[in-house]
Amino acid sequence: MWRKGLALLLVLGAALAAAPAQAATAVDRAVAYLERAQSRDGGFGGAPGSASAPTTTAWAAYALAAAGRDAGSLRRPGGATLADAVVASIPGVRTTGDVERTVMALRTVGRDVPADLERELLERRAADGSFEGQTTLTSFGVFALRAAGHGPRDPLVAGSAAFVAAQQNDDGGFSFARRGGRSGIDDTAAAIEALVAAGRGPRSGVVRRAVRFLEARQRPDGGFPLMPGGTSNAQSTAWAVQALTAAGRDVRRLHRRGARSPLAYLRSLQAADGSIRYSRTSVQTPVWVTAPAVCALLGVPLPILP
Amino acid sequence: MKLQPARLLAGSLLTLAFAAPAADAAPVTVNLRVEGATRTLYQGPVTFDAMSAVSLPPNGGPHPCNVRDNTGNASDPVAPAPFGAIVTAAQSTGQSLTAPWSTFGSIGDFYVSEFGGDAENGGAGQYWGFAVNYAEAQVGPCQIPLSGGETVLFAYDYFNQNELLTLSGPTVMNVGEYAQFAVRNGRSNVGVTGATVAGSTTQDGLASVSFSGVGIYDLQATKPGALRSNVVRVCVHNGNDGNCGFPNDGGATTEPATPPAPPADTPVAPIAPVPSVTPASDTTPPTSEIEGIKPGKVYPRKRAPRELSGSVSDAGGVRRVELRLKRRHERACWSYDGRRERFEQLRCRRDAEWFAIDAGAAWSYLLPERLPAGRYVLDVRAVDTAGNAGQADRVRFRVA
Repeated sequence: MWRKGLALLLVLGAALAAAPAQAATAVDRAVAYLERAQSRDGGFGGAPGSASAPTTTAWAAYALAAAGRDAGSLRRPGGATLADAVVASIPGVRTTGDVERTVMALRTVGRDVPADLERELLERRAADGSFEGQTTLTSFGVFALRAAGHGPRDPLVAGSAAFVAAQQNDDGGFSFARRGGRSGIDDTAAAIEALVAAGRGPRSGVVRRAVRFLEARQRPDGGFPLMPGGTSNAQSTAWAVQALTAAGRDVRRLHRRGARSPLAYLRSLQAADGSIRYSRTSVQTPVWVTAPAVCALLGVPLPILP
Repeated sequence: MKLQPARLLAGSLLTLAFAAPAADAAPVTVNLRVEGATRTLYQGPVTFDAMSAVSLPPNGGPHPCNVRDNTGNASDPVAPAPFGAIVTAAQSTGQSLTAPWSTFGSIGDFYVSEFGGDAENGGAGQYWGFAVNYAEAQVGPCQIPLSGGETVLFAYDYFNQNELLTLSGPTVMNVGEYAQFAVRNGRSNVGVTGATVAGSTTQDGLASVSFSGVGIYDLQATKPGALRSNVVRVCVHNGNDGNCGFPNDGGATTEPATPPAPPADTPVAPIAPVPSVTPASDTTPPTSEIEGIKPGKVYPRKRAPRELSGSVSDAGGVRRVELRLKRRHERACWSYDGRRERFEQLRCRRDAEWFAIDAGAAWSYLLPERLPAGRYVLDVRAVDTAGNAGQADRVRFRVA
């Protein structure tokens, strides 16, 4: 697992090898923070000591796997493993988002996807390739299909990617729902990562337009906001970095109008305990925020495949 | 991630059970606007408190809406939250409200799926969303503490709106006179071009409007792809006789005439009357305080301040908190630039530039890195929701 994780990093994260020492230090500290935040049930809550939640647990798994850890085996002394926690979340799966996230998390921690869960995923995919007719749910659907073993050229993956591509707004961005809604950074980033995961490379017109949308939204502080014009935050910045990396951009060189790079923005939000703060003024859900920031600092986009 | 389809329940199924608010919470008054699918469903001030037990369809409850119990973070304050405003509005007007309860680990919150009969339409991607002071909400509507005076907006199909329109202008006009109405995007406070107000189209955020007859007009700005604005009620008369809202018929009677039916050029239908709470006039400015940095203290470089924090108190609510930070080192000076998050050179005789931060009564600001060597002057000031600007608090310190 560790070797596979390392190999993945070498393939997906060329930036890692060239990353400055300070980035490695920032990642090490953030990963150590995540490891300390694990609960005895194997899962992760939004903040250390809070009850485990499937979403945070999944994101922690992505981050730890991206960092080359054997995420599935991670446990506190005497506690359950992270893989145990992901498996334990299966009975609580209700929504399409639950299904997609759980499939992704299972593969990240090295567990097989149960046949009924994969069937559930496929049943939620509509004839037009969408999941519930929504862009971001469909982007995550692509991630889940890839995690479930479908290749980038698989008709199911390609069909869902085609639905995502058709939802691109005129400004190049994507909204979480459908074409016509206001373009957001997180949703555009997820769409880019889904399109790349479906084999559409950086030369794809849809991807290029979406990349231009993202790059033009970098704030003077180097970060990205949830919605254009808003205040920068770490999670949206992490989404943007992962997407731009997936699209082959070197985010270390992204300095719109003299701003610091988005990676430097993320590092500038690192607190003394290693966590990445949500923004200059907010410390909300530090475990959840730190996890995607780790993926971004390592240059590893979604989906995290074993 | 997925929002469950709302189960629209006929009639007013709203049942509320308020337990006594916690000792450290206090009622607040905010300006609430609820924009439905085709019209404004509520506009006006509402006063409410932190709620410890709210029961709503479809999940029943009761569940809390008081920030602390919703974030699951014991260090968060018990405070009124945006969802309390729409609950109070529904209760006072008898309009239906459906709000499923969802949990995420220690976090539990409501989300609005229906108000006044306008139920979300998942198939069309039309969901209810909300904003506080037109800022995109990052968390659920029971997790944002309100201190009073905020503008709380709940809107149907919120996530597909390119702009959130706001309208301002005169509330009294004479027949035949032109007046300018300003339409801005609440998110950016920038004037909007292409919006329609009373049949006029805005250019650079302004529209000239005139009325040919007396009456009471409810104006609202609209634009395709944007959320309609608040309503501005305008009294149009033939000479200001001091009876705003009732046209002067030119006669001798002092009895207010019944407002005539608006003439044919009436642009919008009036909104339903809503309960209104008129806040007392607030002329007391907020007080600001910097915490954690001792005046005159000399910090070694490795222990130089990085997180700035403090508090602001005001009876009516805080609108804006601003900081400025000046550094002096070896005869050179710098001002901290809050947009670029770095120090910019400054003439030493000048003051540093103020910058606003996202903050309420308690604020904290994490600097990108520990401060380098130098002498520093940190100021904080606040403006309350009534527009009163408070005195700045200042601390001087040094990093050796």
